[in-house]
Amino acid sequence: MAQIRFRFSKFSLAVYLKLALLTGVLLLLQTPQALLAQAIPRRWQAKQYRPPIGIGAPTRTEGGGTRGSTANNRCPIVGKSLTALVPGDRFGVTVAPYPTFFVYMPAASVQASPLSVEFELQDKDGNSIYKSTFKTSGKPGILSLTLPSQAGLPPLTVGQDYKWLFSIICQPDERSLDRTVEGWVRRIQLDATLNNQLKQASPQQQVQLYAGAEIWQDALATLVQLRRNYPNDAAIAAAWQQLLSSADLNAIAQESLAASSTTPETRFTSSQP
Amino acid sequence: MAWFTRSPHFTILTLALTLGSVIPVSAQPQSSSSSLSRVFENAFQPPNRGLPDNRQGGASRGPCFVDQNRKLTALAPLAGGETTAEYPTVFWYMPKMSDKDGAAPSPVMEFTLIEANGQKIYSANYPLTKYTDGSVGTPGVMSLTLASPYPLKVGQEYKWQLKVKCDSNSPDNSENQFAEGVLKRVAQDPNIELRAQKASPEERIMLYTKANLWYDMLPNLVALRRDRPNDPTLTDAWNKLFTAVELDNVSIQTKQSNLQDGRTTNN
Repeated sequence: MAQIRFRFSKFSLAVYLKLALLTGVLLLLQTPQALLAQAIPRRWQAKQYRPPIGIGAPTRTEGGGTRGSTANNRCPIVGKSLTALVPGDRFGVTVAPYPTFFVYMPAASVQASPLSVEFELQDKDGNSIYKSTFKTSGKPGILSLTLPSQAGLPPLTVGQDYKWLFSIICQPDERSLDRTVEGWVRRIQLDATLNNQLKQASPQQQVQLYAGAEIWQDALATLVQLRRNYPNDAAIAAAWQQLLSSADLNAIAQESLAASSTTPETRFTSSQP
Repeated sequence: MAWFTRSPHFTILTLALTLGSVIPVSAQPQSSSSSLSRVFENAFQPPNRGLPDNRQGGASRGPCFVDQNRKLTALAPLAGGETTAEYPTVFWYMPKMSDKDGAAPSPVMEFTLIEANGQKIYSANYPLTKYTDGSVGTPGVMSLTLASPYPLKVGQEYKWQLKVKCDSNSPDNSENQFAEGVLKRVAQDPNIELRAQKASPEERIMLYTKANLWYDMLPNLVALRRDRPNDPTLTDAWNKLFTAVELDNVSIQTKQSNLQDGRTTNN
């Protein structure tokens, strides 16, 4: 199988298509979905969008001491670290007015005992725009955090940078013991050409289009949705593995998505004929 | 039962639903919309539990509330509503607000979901947007899906509470508007779900109404009104529903434009 090394450029998709044509006979043997993983870059490097300056030291993965319960006597979690699903520079762009964010949520040390967590979105000056506190199931897994679109919360402003934080409230009466990870997001204008392509694309193709356009949040969100809808699809699983490993998040590529999930705000409208 | 004679469509539809037919009955949209009105007339009338009516914001002195007749309102029956959903959606009416003092911080919305034992299991806080014309937020019907990974338990009752504070820094509670709804998760009836999946939007609303599933019905009704903003029979049905659950002023409050997405932009 041809190894196609991918770098972000305006022409990446075109180059890919040419290669695909040249190796057409070979590729015919593969399902279209097998191409999905190949369309995802080996290393996620957003060239077009740079993170805001001065966002501090990386804390997408909550610091050490989370492996093994002994080190965790002040926070009732075990196993892999709490991790924000963001690229290495902690910066992901979105075209969504109300984007979805993802974290890996470790297991509660007392099996299936709920943990309290907090999700917060701040503007670039640190003012809180949305804050939600809730209980989790206590099971490990990837948690999605969606901003409500119908609750009177304004949509993210195009061109603005926002910081998002997710904390496990280890001791409710001592918030300094919270385990916190963070990421940054910028809402960008959806390019008209890309918009047209997205409208005609299957969800699998949408992942490729978002990845090709360096739009991390929406590539990830679309892929998470695909994985939830087709949990046994090997090609989607391969793409998932590829996307997470492109951002050095291999450690959580095998984690369950089903354990904890939130429902999109528009759930009920999708049942309309 | 004079209304049976108005159109044969109603008779067929009503009979079909009464007999519990699994076959979806196709009716003209207009006729089903007006039969919605009839279904709503006596809907959601559970026995009086003597609960205090906390569904509408009280006599708040908050300076940001500019319309004292149309208050923050939890859209729910007084005795509570039922849902089969693990992650139900709740709806409320957001009142008209303005900011007379430009320097004050933005009014803040606080949402809380409380278990029967009084424990908070979900909360959301956010400031409402101040616009350049001095208005704050967008009045109208708002909603939130209780999308916590800690699903609601079957057979359990929950309270959801809303608080709008004119000034987030002010400790004076009398300046806030407060509203509360009661929600109970019940077991799903596979027969109703199967029929709902095959049903038209109107039929689905009627199915959920007859099954007394307020929180399963309302998202469908709101979606239908957004799809057909100029359908007068739908407006009539909406008004009948809120009269039946004794929130009469909601029908006046929620003009069609207020059901639109307002200033929300979607791609």
